[in-house]
Amino acid sequence: MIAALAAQSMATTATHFSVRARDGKARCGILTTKNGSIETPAVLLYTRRGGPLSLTSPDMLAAVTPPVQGVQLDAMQFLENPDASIIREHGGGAHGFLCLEGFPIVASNRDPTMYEYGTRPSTDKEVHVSIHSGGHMVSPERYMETIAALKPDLFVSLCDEVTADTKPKRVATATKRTTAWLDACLQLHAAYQQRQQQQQQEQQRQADPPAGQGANGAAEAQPSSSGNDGVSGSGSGAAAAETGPLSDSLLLAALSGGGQAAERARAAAAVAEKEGVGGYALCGLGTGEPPERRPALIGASLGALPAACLERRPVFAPGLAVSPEELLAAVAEGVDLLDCALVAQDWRPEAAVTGAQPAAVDASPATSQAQAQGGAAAGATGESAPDAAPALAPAPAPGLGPDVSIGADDTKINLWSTSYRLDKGPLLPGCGCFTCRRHSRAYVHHLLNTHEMLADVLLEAHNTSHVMAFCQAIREAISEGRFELYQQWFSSLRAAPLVPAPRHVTSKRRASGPPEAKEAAVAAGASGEAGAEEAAGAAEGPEAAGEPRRSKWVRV
Amino acid sequence: MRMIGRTLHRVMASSSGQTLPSSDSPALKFKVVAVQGRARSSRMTLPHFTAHTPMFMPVGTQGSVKGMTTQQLQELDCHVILGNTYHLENRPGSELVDAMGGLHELINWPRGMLTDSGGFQMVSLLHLAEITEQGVTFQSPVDGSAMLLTPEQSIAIQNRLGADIIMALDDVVPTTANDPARFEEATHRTTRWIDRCIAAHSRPGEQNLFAIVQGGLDTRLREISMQQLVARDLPGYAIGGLAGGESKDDFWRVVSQCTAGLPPGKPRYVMGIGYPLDIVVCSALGADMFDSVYPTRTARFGVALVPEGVLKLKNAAHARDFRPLDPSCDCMVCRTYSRAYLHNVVTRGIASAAVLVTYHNVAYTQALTRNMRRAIEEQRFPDWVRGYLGTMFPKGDVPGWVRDAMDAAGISLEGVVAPTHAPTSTPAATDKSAATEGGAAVVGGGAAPG
Repeated sequence: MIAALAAQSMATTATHFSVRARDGKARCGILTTKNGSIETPAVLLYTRRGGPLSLTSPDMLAAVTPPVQGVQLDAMQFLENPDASIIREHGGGAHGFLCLEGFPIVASNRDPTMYEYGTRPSTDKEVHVSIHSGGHMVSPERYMETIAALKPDLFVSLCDEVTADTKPKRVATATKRTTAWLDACLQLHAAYQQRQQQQQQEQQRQADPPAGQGANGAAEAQPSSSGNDGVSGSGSGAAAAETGPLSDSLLLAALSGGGQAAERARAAAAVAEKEGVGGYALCGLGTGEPPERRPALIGASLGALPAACLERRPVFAPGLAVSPEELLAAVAEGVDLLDCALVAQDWRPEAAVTGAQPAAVDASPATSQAQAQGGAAAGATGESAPDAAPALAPAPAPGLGPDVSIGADDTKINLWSTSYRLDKGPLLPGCGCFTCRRHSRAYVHHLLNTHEMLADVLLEAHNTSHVMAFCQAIREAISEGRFELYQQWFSSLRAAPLVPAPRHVTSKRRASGPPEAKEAAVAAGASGEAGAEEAAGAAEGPEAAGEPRRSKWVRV
Repeated sequence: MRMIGRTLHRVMASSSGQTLPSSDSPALKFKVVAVQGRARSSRMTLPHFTAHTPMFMPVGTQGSVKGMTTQQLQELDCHVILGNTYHLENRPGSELVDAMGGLHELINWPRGMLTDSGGFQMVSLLHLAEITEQGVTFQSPVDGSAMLLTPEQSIAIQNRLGADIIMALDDVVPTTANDPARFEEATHRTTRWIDRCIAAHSRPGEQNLFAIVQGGLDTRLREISMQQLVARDLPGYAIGGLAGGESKDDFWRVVSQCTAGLPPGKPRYVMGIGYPLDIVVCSALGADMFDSVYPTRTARFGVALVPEGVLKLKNAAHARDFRPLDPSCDCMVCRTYSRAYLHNVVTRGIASAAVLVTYHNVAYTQALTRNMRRAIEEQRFPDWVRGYLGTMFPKGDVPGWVRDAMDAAGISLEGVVAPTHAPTSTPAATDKSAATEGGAAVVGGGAAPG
């Protein structure tokens, strides 16, 4: 009966997804929720304990342009201070309590800027997370109680999170637990879609809740405390499906499998057609696996799902948007939603993301060539025309591109650099964001130097706007059928400043060791194919055999 | 005490005259538009903006008011904000600010700006400073390099920063110092330095040089300082050397003496005042301008300003409190957020939460001064004061210094102050005779309404 109810709830839920355009595996879609729609692929606003790191809301959040479409929160950060009972008592769910009305909310099980798992062992019944208040053991019941209090538009099922380098045996255990926990979450989801009485029964069945929470939960789920979750209080069973706290929430099934393609395929197949699954979350990625291996891992998960399932179910990939290239790579594999570590790192986001995305519609190669060679540190070049040969994609000539020595590349500028001390220009010419309209590079540079909080505010405002614009460019590229071209062009720009390792390094020889390995001088990401190959070729040692490469200091 | 009686009379006489006080300086027009008792509501036209006083000026020490954008400061109706000469000369340097078109341009703040002289750092960084007749040598806490701040240097720096109001370099001694000779020296040196400041000031048509009255807690020295500075006929005057740990009883008396002794047609700026109660008391005594880091700093410690006093948001009592910070405040934060939400995230490394409380605290202090101005203009200021104190001290336990100050201001606290003997609340009138403190209703000086 639960399955039938779940199926029905799927049909009546206010949250649904449809694909509108495709380009290869990449797809454009629209995710509709009762709190607004999201055009995908989309990056969700990062929040920590429910709030953006530096942007005040609603004013600064509303000023982001193109606008923020959806918000990500980490459900695990609501286990304590506040906990589910407090949020329930408030009565407005995450939207009300966190003042995020008007934004679709995705409740993830993960925070993209800090890893909460693995500090202590998990068990078959509970996963261990380490949050602001310390360590917590979280069962599906406890997790779903928190989710039900938050009432998000989408949420990820409980997952035994393991990193990509985890050994196969542990990965298999994680898959087993995650699948079992998915079943539990599905059942609880269905229950939370029913009216309050059933919900009360669920809570009273939690025999030994942690530290007084269960008692609170039972006490507060009285029929008299009406309005907590909009319960109409009439009838029971299938007809009252829209009266529970999670009636309009979409469950994203956690797809586990660590860093092993075969295991990921197996895990995905196991959950593929479970009733009540409304979407998928690619768990366990962005945990240290080399980015070039990631497409295969994503492909293994999504490839094991029937096409019909993917057609109407969004794919959420937490932890991947740490760089523009990784974002693009994820989209290329069919990811629809991502959280955002790009904008909100734990360290100061001193870089203003400038990114290669069009500030204007002008796409003539001549214009973009001129802009690329303009010598400005910000690389706001136009996009290449859809039917242009790849060779026309402008690459900055050597020496005329962004100034790497001050920490700039074609997608960001480092405002710590003293070269901006007197720069009255906006962070990114042509950008319409709050910061670029109102303030100068010199001011932001000064604020960084003086360690003023406003530096973070202004940079987050710009960087968030910029990522939103980047996503818009991605969506346009997909719907116009030129996404692969866009991705290649973007990567070529980023790879241009990378230099191969010098043949003769001037570092000291170690007393004990063999001749130094030659390493790439630039500590850039592995995005530039040419650069990486050169570095690998120049390095000595049996690296291919799997021995870890010794790290060396190379003085250049 | 006699001094206060005499000066009160002087003030009374001038305010009962036909025209309200005003002054016209090259870069500043000050016009009192309403008076009630010693309090006045005024308009101060500066090169960048016309400010309304009494006003509170948030402090943007290093070129920003901690986490707030200039747009938000405008939305909250701030009229003048502060920049700190010492810090801005350190980073980014006044020459750079000048090259960027002045501080207004650099930070994109179109309204009024005030820079202090750098003198306060003398007090707060004293272990790194040496004061001579020439000036003050600082050892920069950033990199240990030596900075000499002479009156000429201070003015030159402030000329480059370009604020509407610049402060003279004064020799300020902490009020807690027990060294009468030092206070004497500082009083006279401040006068000598004002002449050097005036001589060094290269933009008197665009920037207003305010002098700062010193003298510690000594009424004689304060009188000397006031006379000497007023003789220089500056656009405005500040009351300095306070907010440094002196007792509240001493504090209000110095403020009262100075507001009574300074020309009524010119703005009076009490430096370093930020507790709402202090702002109210000083305004009642005739002060016009205030600045302090208190509202913004205390916000970052999770403390919100409310009519009843303060809310310590980290306190467990707020974990389930779903009310706004201040139900009577209509700022964005109070219209949107609950105490319960802020309780968890303020001071926990999530800057946006600190900024939200900062936003409210700035809104609160701006509303406070706005309401005072309106009350004065509508001739109901004493009622407003009684209402304010009644909310803050519902049990009637108004501090003695506030009662004394309001007495000097000519504002009756009848109905607000609890009789000192009665354990339960009884009408104040019946116990007036038994009250030993001077907090009951007799209005001193006669002519003041209320």
